[in-house]
Amino acid sequence: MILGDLLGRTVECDGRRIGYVLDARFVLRDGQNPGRAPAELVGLVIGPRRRAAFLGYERIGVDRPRVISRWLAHRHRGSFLVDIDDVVELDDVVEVRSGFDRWSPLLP
Amino acid sequence: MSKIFGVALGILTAIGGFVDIGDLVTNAVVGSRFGLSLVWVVVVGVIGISLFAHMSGKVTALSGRATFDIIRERLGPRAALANLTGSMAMTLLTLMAEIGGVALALQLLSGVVPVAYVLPVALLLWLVLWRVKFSILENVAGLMGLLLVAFIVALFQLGPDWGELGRQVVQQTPDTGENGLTYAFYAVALFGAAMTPYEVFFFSSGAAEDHWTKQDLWLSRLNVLIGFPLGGLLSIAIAGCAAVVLLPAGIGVSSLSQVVAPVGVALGVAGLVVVLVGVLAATAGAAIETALSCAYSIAQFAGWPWGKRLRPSQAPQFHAVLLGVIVIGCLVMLSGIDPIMVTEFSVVFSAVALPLTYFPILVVANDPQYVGENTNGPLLNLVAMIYLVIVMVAALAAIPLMILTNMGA
Amino acid sequence: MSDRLPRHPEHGGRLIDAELNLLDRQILDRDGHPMLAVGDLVLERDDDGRWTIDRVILGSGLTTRFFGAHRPLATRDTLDWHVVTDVGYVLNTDAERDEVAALWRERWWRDQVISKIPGGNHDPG
Repeated sequence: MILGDLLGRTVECDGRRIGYVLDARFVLRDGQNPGRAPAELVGLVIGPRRRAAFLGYERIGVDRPRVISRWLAHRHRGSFLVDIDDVVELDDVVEVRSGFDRWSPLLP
Repeated sequence: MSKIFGVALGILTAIGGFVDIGDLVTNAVVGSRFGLSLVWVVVVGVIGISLFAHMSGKVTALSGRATFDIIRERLGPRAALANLTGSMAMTLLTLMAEIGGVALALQLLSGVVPVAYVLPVALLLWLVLWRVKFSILENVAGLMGLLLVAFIVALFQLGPDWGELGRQVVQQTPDTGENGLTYAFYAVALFGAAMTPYEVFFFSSGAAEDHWTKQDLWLSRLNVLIGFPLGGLLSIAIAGCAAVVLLPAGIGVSSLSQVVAPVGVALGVAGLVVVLVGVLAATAGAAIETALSCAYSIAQFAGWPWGKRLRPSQAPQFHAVLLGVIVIGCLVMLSGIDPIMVTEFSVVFSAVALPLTYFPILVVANDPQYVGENTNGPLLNLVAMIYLVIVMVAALAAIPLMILTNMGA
Repeated sequence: MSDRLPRHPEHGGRLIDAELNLLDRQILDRDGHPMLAVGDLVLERDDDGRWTIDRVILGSGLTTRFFGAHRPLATRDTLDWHVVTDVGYVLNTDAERDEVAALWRERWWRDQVISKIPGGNHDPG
């Protein structure tokens, strides 16, 4: 599967659209240095707008200049992270099981 | 000792390198029609370019990434490509104006029509870029450009009524019968001439060419805080000379000879030769910078190896682009198109293209991923945000004003 | 905004987001020289049903898309994920430049044009 095809896909739960795939989160299990560590998909960042540019804000704790950061936050309110185990299907439409957990999309 | 020398060299180069054909023509035109009432725009422009150059230099010194690499990464390839197209068009236009400027200076020094010089100038430009080391290019052009100080000397020699000049600066509105729209148009043009985007591509990429690191940041600040304002003073002197000699006589500026005429009046033929060599150096230096900026931008966007610090065979596509833009610039100028007219378009489009690169740099200068703990302080951000508004207003107003005033006629 | 949502428990490793940390990043070869940018990523499923990054697609593919073709998944345009040695503001790899097929255009310009101009192989300055 090509990641670029996954980004922007509609995400549904119980037949209802809950957002679009904005990003995909991976974990590199061998600690800080990825050197040869496999990158495993562990979650999807989902948001109300398709293909919106975060420009780095609200994801890694960057919040200056405040005016820009607040404007972007407003555009992307309602974004959240979904654990890959809550994803039932990764096809033309991404299906998420009911009762899924919403996590913060902030990258620690 | 050599450190002081290095610092002095950097500052002097920044002063001499500040002025290009856009500044020469626009300041002279403004001086001949509005006196010194638009000096405030030069001040605003100098602060803006200092801010812009400082932020982009900081980002490159700390992260090793240069402007268009960052823009591609932040905005994604499609938006970055649109951005690149706009910036490139403007930089290419400026390159053409600079080649024309060199040819015009040579015409005034030798009496031969400028079109005859276009091909040799372009060839020499490419040869110099092919073989000469980056630091030498930077320094020689910048130092020789200092000869433009002749404008400052000339202004004093003309013995103007300083009180009158001062009044024009403070009053900010001209006495002549120019209407508000034309005033606004020239304000935008002067702003575009002072705050040229290509300067920033060059500054940022140059930081990588010179292998700047965190330790060199203070040097960058010095260059910017001293060099650019002094360069701005040169611009004001050009306008001042025009205000003192051309304005009272009602002489308009439509060619390079009118731009330098006041220096001839004040300092005679010797002064004229000196200032023309200065113009030659400043425009040649700017031609080098704009050609490199085009190649830097495209190569950084595409992810190719780039830079004068590599062997040409290690950065082949970068050098191919460099050759390509010089060929295009040369072909266009060979058509005999008036370089002054090309210059006037280039400064207006500079203003239009400015937000494209200013905004991503502002964002990234605040991103710890790129600059570590050296993110913009609150004061810097406040000023930078004010300038974001100024830059966007200028960009939106530029083309309508250009059309409404028929290019400031 | 998203501060109100709880933080996901630790995964036991470093987290990166594709769009934020990987896509469109500059890729460097073994010697630290730029080698195109990350255009896209190819994910594969392993035996346990987990998706991992298998390959990195080099270059934005904008030229191909401009002419209407969908990006072909030719292996020559990709790098194996395991050659990536570090992910920061660039992707460091230990790829040997001349072995990367995707750089054919660069080699063409080098061999057919730049090397043929006198001085093309000289050290700068």
